[in-house]
Amino acid sequence: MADLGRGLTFLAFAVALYGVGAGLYGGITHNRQWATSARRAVYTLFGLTSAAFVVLEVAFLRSDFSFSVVQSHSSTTTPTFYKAAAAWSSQEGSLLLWLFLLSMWSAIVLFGTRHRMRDIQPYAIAVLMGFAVFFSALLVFWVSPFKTLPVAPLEGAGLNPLLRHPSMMIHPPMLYSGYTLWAVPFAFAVGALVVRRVDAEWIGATRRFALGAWFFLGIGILLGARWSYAELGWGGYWAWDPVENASLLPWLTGTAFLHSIMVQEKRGMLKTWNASLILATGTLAILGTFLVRSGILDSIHAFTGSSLGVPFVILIGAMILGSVALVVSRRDTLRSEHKLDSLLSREAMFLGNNLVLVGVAFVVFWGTFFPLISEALTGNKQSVGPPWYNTYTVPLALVLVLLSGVGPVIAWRRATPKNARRNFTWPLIAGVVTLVVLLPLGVGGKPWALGMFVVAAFAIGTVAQEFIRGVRARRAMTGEAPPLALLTLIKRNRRRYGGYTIHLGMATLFIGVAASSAFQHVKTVALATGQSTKIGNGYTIRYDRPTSRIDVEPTGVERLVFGAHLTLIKDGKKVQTLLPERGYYPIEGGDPAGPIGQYFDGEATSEVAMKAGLGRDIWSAITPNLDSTMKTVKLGDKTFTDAKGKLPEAQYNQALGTAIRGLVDNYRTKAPPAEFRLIVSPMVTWIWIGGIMVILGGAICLWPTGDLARRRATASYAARVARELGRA
Amino acid sequence: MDPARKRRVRLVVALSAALLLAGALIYTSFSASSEARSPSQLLASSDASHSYQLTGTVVNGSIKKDGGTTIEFKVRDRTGSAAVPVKYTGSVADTFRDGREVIVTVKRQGDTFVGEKDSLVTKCPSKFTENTKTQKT
Amino acid sequence: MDALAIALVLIAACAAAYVLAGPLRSDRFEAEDAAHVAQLTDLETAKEARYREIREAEMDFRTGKLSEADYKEIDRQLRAEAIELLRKLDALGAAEAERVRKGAEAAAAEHAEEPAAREPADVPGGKR
Repeated sequence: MADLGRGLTFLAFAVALYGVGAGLYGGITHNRQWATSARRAVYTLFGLTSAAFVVLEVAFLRSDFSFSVVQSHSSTTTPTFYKAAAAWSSQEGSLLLWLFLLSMWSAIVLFGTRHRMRDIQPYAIAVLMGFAVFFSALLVFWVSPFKTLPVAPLEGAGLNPLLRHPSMMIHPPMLYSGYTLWAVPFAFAVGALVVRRVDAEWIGATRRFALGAWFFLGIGILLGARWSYAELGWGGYWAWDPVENASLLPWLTGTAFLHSIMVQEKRGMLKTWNASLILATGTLAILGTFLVRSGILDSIHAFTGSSLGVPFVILIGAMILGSVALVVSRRDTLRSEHKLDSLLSREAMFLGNNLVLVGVAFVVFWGTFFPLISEALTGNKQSVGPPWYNTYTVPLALVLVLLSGVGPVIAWRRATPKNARRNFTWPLIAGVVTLVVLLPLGVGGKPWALGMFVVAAFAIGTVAQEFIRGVRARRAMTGEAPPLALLTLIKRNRRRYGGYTIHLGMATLFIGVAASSAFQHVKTVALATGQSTKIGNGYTIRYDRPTSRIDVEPTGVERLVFGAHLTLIKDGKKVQTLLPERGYYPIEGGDPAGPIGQYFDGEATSEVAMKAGLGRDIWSAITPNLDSTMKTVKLGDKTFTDAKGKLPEAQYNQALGTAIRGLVDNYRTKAPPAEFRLIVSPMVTWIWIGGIMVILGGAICLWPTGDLARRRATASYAARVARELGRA
Repeated sequence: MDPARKRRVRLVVALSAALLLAGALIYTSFSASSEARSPSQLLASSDASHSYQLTGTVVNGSIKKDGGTTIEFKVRDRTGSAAVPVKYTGSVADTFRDGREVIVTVKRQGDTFVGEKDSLVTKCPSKFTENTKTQKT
Repeated sequence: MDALAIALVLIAACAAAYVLAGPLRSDRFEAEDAAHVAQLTDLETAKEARYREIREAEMDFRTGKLSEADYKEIDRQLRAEAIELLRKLDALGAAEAERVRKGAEAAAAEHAEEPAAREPADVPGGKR
């Protein structure tokens, strides 16, 4: 089976090479046959990578430990869903997933555009296949997922328990879809620049590609933040960690592109800027892929020193040099048709939006790579922390939200005072009212948060106004009932109202971020049973008693769980029970420390207990004090190691089971104090609600409109006649 | 002012603003950053008024809990045995244990290094494993 | 080495080669006038974009973002641009029709001569 996988991957490499050659040849000689053959190479690649991926998945699902990656990342006790997902928890498997997704998205896009952009397509195919060559070469010659072990072991090391969470398993495919999708507009931009055609057709197509990539990448980032908050023991959703930043960078520049391309569409401006932006976004996506696995930056996610650094650096270098060369050599094609008339215009707002987003991207980029930059310049590796990032991103985010309120409503070319009065009166009132209402509530102590609330209210006011006016206008035309009018309004103006929904979502998200960062209460405290502690505004948490249990899977003991039963009290009344826990997974397949000790030497994960609400979240995590338990464990280890040879196996195992159960039960009776991390975060839920709105808005924008089908039918007269002539 | 001149002025203003911001960014990054040091580098020389980002491996058997929320442990070079003692208050990741790689912001106080609250980051143990993320405290 | 695996990979390779070579074996040579097609689709797309903008301008007027005077001005301008695009499309179509007519005449002349040379010997009475 491993041989099949290896063979298929090698074949994929060969087909990708052919695709590059056929695409280039077909493009240069304007030969449709070769271009079609190149497109078929993309379809073929998709078939081959799917087959290779299936081979790997089957190996995981069957727990075929002759595969080295299966042995190191899965085990017989891993639940089936996570066995399937474990395929991409390894370096090799994740690269195969990347290649598979690249070929899938390329095939879909090229099939959908097979009758369009005939001059650009061959070059775009060549670029996409170029990426495929790179990744398949890595898989064939460097890190193969199909490496086998000479003797298949009976058990595997198991999947890191931190990953045993549904959103953590969807996060990589979503993120990789986002990354690979950015390769598509990159490829088409290269093609368009090569043939010097950056006009209407290219704009429309690239905008849709970019929207798709932005959509998936956004989902991936949101899922990562949610997982961090709900599953990890620190209670935060964003740490400005290098790997997090790497995924944010292409999203920021991609968002900028989605706005500025509208200016090019409407007024023929910013052509050089857009070309550079989309090329940069594609490069940043590859950079993000590289950063995660390179080990060049100290990060929580650092996967130490893999050897893939050098090939990636070469690829990224080539992308940067090629992009610069293309843009510079085609600058005559990229000349603007119009110039900016007034600073009070939609074009100017879009430009402002771009500058802010690129500014944030620069801050994030600088902070992320600072250790390398400072080492190069001063010899010392220095790094900056979240406070530094926040100093710059917070004001910029404020400006961004403000612009999102002004932009959609201000006129193109030049805004007039009358236009401003019509459109900004109510949103401004909303902003001022928010300010007046919040000041006496003590929010004034956190000026940045207050500022964000005010501009977000302004932006939401604009969006609400747009929806209300739109529904009113529709009803004036057709007399529909409001809900129906709203639906048809959105259906017939997808771009606009999808965009408004996204803005609404982002404003909501920022409100949640501002509130939960500025007004958070965090407490780390050690409590004995029966003790209480106060937190936040009027909440009390009481540690009632310890809890413990053994989680068993059909294949054996999954983990030992130790936790606490907490009661959340407000104003003397019980609000909710919280059950934070910590699970201890045994080491699998390795050298156990001891018959009982092995259960504590594997990984440990926190099970967070929280009461989520629209107003605030109460979040709790526990670190149980296992010192006395460990003393008993050491004693037990000695006893059982001595007894190992002297008892029949069945009796030994039974005794071991009883001992472990006793240990676990003992924790409940002895009830030592435990350490708790307690957080009260206001309005965190609004972050997730805002995120969902953004995704919904994105889906509305992506939904295909009717006129796409009409355009596909456009065929050139010459081609039709030539075809008919050929048949005669 | 004719439109062309207006545009040039705008461009100059915008570029200057961008340069100023970039300058502020770059300057503050050097002053607000903390230097990454290994234990042997810290032992060789350390300034009691500076905080450093200590990176290294937890020495086996060195973790001591005093019952409250403060822990003491020793951090050694990844490849070597030079070790520094660290006193740390704040929450600790699930993955923190003997032999794990850690990053913690510390400041020297006498003979020991005091860790900044909640700055302890424990890295994941496995090598090539993609996506084996660890906890941040 | 797994014999089944080798066989499967070889089959896959053959299938791939067949699929990829398909378009190359085709006798039909279609004159690919990329420049013309590109121009056509760009004009069409620009026309569609104008239509959309006209609709959106009306929407803006109805929702009160544009005053009546502004709307009439913008509507007039956009419609003029759309008409210009249609005119260009028609001109392109006319030029194309002329080119095709000439090309068809030339191709017909070619085909009239060729059958004599290409005809396989064993097809009875094969002259077109």
